[in-house]
Amino acid sequence: MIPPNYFLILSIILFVLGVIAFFIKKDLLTMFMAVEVMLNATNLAFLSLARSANSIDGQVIVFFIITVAASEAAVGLAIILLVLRQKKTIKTEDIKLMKG
Amino acid sequence: MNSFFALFPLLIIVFIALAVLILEVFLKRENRDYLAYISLVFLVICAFVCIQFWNKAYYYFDGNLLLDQFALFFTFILLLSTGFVVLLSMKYISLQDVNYGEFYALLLLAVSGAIIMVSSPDLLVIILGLEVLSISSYALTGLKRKDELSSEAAIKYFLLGSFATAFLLFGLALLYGASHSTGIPTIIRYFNTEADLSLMALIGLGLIVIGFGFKIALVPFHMWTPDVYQGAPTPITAFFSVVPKAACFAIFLRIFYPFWKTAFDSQAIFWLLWGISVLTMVVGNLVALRQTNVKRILAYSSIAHAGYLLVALLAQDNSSLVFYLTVYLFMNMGAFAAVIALSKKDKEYLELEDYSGIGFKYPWIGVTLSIFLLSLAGFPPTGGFLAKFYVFSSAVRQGLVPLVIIGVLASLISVYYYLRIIVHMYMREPSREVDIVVENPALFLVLFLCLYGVLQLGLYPRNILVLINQAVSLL
Amino acid sequence: MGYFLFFLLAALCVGSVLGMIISKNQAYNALFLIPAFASLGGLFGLLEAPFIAVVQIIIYAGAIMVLFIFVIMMINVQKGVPPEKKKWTLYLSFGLAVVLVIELAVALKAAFTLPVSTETLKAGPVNLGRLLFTKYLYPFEITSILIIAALVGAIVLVKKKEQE
Repeated sequence: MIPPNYFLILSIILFVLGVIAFFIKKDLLTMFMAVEVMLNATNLAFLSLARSANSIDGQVIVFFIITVAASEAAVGLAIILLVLRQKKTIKTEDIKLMKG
Repeated sequence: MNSFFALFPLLIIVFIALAVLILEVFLKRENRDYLAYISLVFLVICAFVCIQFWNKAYYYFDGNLLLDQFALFFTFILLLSTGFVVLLSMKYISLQDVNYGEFYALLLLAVSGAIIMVSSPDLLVIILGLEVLSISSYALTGLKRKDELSSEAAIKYFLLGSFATAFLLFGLALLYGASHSTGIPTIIRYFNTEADLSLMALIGLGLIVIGFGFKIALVPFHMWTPDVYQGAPTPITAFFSVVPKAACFAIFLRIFYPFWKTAFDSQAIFWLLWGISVLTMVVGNLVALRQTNVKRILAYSSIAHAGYLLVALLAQDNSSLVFYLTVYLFMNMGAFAAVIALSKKDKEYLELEDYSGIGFKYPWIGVTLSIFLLSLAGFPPTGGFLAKFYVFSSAVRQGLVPLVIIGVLASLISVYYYLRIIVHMYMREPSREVDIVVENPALFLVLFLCLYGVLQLGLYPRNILVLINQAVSLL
Repeated sequence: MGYFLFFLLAALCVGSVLGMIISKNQAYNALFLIPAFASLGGLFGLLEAPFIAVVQIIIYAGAIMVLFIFVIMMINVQKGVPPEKKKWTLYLSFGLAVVLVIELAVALKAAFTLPVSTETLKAGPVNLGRLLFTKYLYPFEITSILIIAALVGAIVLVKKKEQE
């Protein structure tokens, strides 16, 4: 059996990759995809920790995280569509009306 | 009492949110005010139901729902601020073309999320509640659909908010891994009993602090705040400046009060919060100095106030933290009410220049706004003075002298930009034509109630302090 | 066999995310995420969470990514984005990167001491469902409010302007 450590380390790597992607990508849609990667990394962490603790509570929590991710996707994509309709673009450098 | 009855406060709010959604279909556009009246009536009913639970601190649903005095007091704060926001919105939404029935529904759903947060000792439930609050907030921010500022604010809020949620959830995962539970009492017991704490738990707690820091707008996680506050419809800005902050600080109190008392090694987290508090007070006040948009000034001022609240948290003085939040609710809502008053059809007067000469042209707005600003700056005899006094004096008693010195200096800086608005109102010749819709009874009711609150809390705070001490005694 | 599968899926997952980071085309980014999420589903299976694995593939690789691609179809996908650095996140990204690197280093150390349980988990749908409707009943009900908020929010933002 593979030790849960391996999965936890993989989840941390994925989480950091998600954070990096969030900061270096320059369009709203991909930034949001990066957040989805981070949430998935969280799911993996929960499952590996649940495995290590030998309880299935972690698996139930993953259900809730998937729900959170799905509802964020619904609202987030609606907001991205709203921006797209107004500006005809979703690049971050065009989102700069407010300064200070 | 039965678990189902304990759900009543929450159920009332959610039920009325859905009822508003359905009723909207049957109402004509000009009759939408009825939705506001219905929401208000049920907010009051919800408050009365909450009173029934006072002094009956029971756990419900396997410890996922806890209606203790602390939760109930915060529920009152949340209901009161939502009531103010509903009153402020009535005229505003028809003037600024955000007249959707969903406006009130989303507002009520948002506050239901905040109520879920404050009335649970389980971090999973708290984060789900925060998510209900956040998702409704993202939508509310973008509700001025023709206004590009509004949708920019929505996208910034959404991206950074969901980024913060990911941090919170990852922190929760690490805490779960260390303590095998998501309940705050179990997690604290873990910190309490494990002599050699695994770093995993500390990092988890740190990530949780960062995640909530985003939602409260603590420096350095505040970049979204001024833009979101500027772009969102103004009553919603007032909502953001009070409700999420109050709810997240309630969670901080639930986590950190037992944590400071019992944890073997709380130094790392203490200094993390210490640094954030200093940064928040200093940066918030300094950046506010060079703002010219009143909404942005209030945004930075609310950031700075979160810093003072953190001082109270570090001083382990729960009752003065809750008192500060209560006062902050009144003075901030009042200030936003005055800002909302200065608007007409499809136009809001938000630049500092617009405020020139307002004090004489609209004396009521001028006087009340001045009092709220003086209270925010911390002048006696207003509630703002007393709140700051309590916080700083208990911090001195705890030996946090450097922190208090920084805090007092920062609030001295803040006097400048608050007074600048007042100077503009009374000592400048009007440079622009400002013409507003004056007949707005709901808004003047809010102004009056907030004025009463600020002065009552400043002159005779005893009753409310007794209540607050009862509320925090069981933490 | 288990190790081989783990490293294969882990490499596929990390590789796809890296592909998403490197590629500049939004459509490719979304397509890269699908193998990433699917291989995560496989990893969940290796962690004795078969039901979650199925849910992961149905919801993420299915529903959520379809939504993404649906939005991308509405965009005129532009090739490449000029390599300009964003200003309003620059300060933060630097600070956070430092914090995260430290976190990664420390947490990796902690992760190696995770206890290993050799018992098999009873993670079938029956056990999960029982837990969901007893211990986690309250959060489960809250998700219904969450979904309503998301639905109302999404609809109000993109629906057509109502007739005056």
